[in-house]
Amino acid sequence: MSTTTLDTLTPGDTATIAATAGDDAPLLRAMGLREGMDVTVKRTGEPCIVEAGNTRLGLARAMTGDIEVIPHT
Amino acid sequence: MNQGEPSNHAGQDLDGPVRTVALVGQPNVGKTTLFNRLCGLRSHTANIPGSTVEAQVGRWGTSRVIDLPGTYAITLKQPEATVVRECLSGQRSDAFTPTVVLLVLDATSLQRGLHLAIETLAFGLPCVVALNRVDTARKRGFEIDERRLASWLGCEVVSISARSGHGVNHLQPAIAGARVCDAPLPNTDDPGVCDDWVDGVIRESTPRPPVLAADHLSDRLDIAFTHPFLGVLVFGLVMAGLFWTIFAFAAVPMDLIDTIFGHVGGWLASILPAGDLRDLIVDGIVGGLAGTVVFLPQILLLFFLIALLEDTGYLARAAFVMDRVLRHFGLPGQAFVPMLSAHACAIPAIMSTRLVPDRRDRLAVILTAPFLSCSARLPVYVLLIGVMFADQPVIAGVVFAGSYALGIIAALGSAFLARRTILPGTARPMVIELPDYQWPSITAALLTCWDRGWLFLRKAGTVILGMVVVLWWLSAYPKAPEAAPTAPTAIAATVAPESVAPSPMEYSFAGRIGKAVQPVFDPLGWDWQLTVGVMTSFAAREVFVSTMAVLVGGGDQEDHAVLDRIAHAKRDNGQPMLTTETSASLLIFFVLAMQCLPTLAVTAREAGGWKWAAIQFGWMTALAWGGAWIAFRVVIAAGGT
Ligand SMILES: Nc1nc2c(ncn2[C@@H]2O[C@H](COP(=O)(O)OP(=O)(O)OP(=O)(O)O)[C@@H](O)[C@H]2O)c(=O)[nH]1
Ligand SMILES: [Mg+2]
Repeated sequence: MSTTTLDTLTPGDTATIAATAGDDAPLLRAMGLREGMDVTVKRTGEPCIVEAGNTRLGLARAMTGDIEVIPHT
Repeated sequence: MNQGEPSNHAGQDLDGPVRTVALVGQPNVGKTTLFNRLCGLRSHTANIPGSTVEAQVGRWGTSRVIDLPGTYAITLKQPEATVVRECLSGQRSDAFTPTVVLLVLDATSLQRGLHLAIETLAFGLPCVVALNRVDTARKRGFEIDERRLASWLGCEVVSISARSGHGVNHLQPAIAGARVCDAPLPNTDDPGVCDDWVDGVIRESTPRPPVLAADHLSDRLDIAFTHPFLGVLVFGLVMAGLFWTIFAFAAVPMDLIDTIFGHVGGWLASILPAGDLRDLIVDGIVGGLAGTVVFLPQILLLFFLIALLEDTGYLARAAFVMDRVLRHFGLPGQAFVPMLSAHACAIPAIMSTRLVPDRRDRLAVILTAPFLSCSARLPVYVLLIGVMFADQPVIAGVVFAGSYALGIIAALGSAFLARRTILPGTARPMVIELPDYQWPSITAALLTCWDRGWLFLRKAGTVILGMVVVLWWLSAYPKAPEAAPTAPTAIAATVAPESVAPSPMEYSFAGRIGKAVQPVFDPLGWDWQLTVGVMTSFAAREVFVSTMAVLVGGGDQEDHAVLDRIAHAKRDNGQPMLTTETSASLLIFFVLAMQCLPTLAVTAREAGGWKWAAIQFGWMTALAWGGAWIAFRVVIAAGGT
């Protein structure tokens, strides 16, 4: 399984979070973007929207670049 | 938006409450809704994360309840996490130490909440869990077994809906019997173990598969509302629509109030004997109060519409699309909510910047928020635009919305400058939770609107009434001598043929002060009366209309409604006081000027020094004077009146 970062996905893609990095990692984790969670990309661009569980988050691209994911094929 | 409620509702005068209950939970889970329901209060709630910024205290039976800001985790560096952490460990000198924790979890996002539960229970305080939003969870086919959940958490779990009140009555006995968590909890330092534990809890206490039905409505609305261009356009239309509605729909009730005051004034003038007492009552009190109270419909409508908008969940989307725009001006995404709420009042807006984590980002918002047109400016806009475009309602509406736009442009431009000079740097990247949309509660909006209207009337009856009486006195005394005036202006009368002996008004203290200061504003086209009006509005902007009502009052026009009287008032030389060009310069001045002492005090406190308040005051006043001068010149060049 190859990992990539969340900002490379396109709308509708789903992936499993592998790791979060950066200054804001604790915040992102607390908001629901934890390792092992499935996320769906709802909108790309700056900022973008991802959904994890029942949580919809608007994120700056600087942050999605810090989130490593394993895309579902 | 936060709307500046006092932070202690009933906290100080409790005679020995049995316990202190702290409401802890993630942002937007419904803590303040629950707090209001328990304590019978109406603190500010909104369907966007971050609506509570500081601890608030209320009373619920024999308990004291502390409503805390929501935080995603207690261990974060974010300011809201610090407030919660310090409160729970009894380190806050300005708050009470809780004896019981009421942990509010959102049944529709249990997983996130459980991680917060682990952290909260680790403080070792007796705890009760309120499982909120069970109404939404149920609607979306999601049931949680509270007994199972309770055994995992080691404390009682009560399913509630804070919005409807369902289940809230079961909280009282649960709190009375609250116990310290007696279940084995994972160590907060080990994320892997915590994740496994949370997965276990969810597996055991929810149906399989543990997912909610999709929220198609939110998805569909988001297609338009979060679109990078369409979204910004929609937001612009929503705001323009908001202000236009206020302008258009409040006109009828406003005229009605104005007419009633006019009749009351006329009637009093007819029954009271001529003299100082009659002048004080008719010109001072009735005229002055009318100048403020006629704007009650606009104020009510503004707060009603904002309350509706806040409850829908749309504002989180607006914040999302506006982040791109704000970023260009060096403002962070978190600036959106403070800047929007500054359209009601800058004070709570500045206080809500406490949730902006970066200090320079925060200062940029604090310094520029007062440019945004607060509700106290609304009366002045209505008066001046009414004078300029009396018979052109459409243009008037556009200029009205344009005044708000000018405030926004000034704020963004100033932020842009500040980020390149005194506050160098770029704004931090944004992350915001987008809650589900919901129908706004009309009742809740009406109640908010009632509270705000009452606050407005109370201010009119106290501060503004007091100022109006003082102003009347200043404008009535000292009396001009009956014959052969000896004031220096009498000599001028022989030199300049158009100026006559000073009127009693000019001879009064107000007249003398106004004339002494008037040269400062002469380039803007203002006479001494407008100068006095603007000077008094430095204490509170809405006093402007009342001041003008007192200054132009009297004469033989008692039956005229107060706004008409101001619009048709004359200068000493017989020219109209308000022409198109002076109205334009006044309007621009009011949009841009910093005329609010309480805001300056809050700026100094929140920014950490009077230096910042001085910068804010200096910059805004300079810009206001310059802008007003340009407006005056441009209108004259374009033909004036
Ligand atoms: N459907 C539903 N909505 C609720 C319930 N409780 C609260 N809400 C809504 O949730 C939104 C947020 O409520 P608040 O009370 O402001 O949330 P809070 O936890 O105080 O939020 P912060 O102060 O930001 O931490 C409001 O729009 C409420 O109307 C509930 O039980 N069911
Ligand atoms: Mg709250």
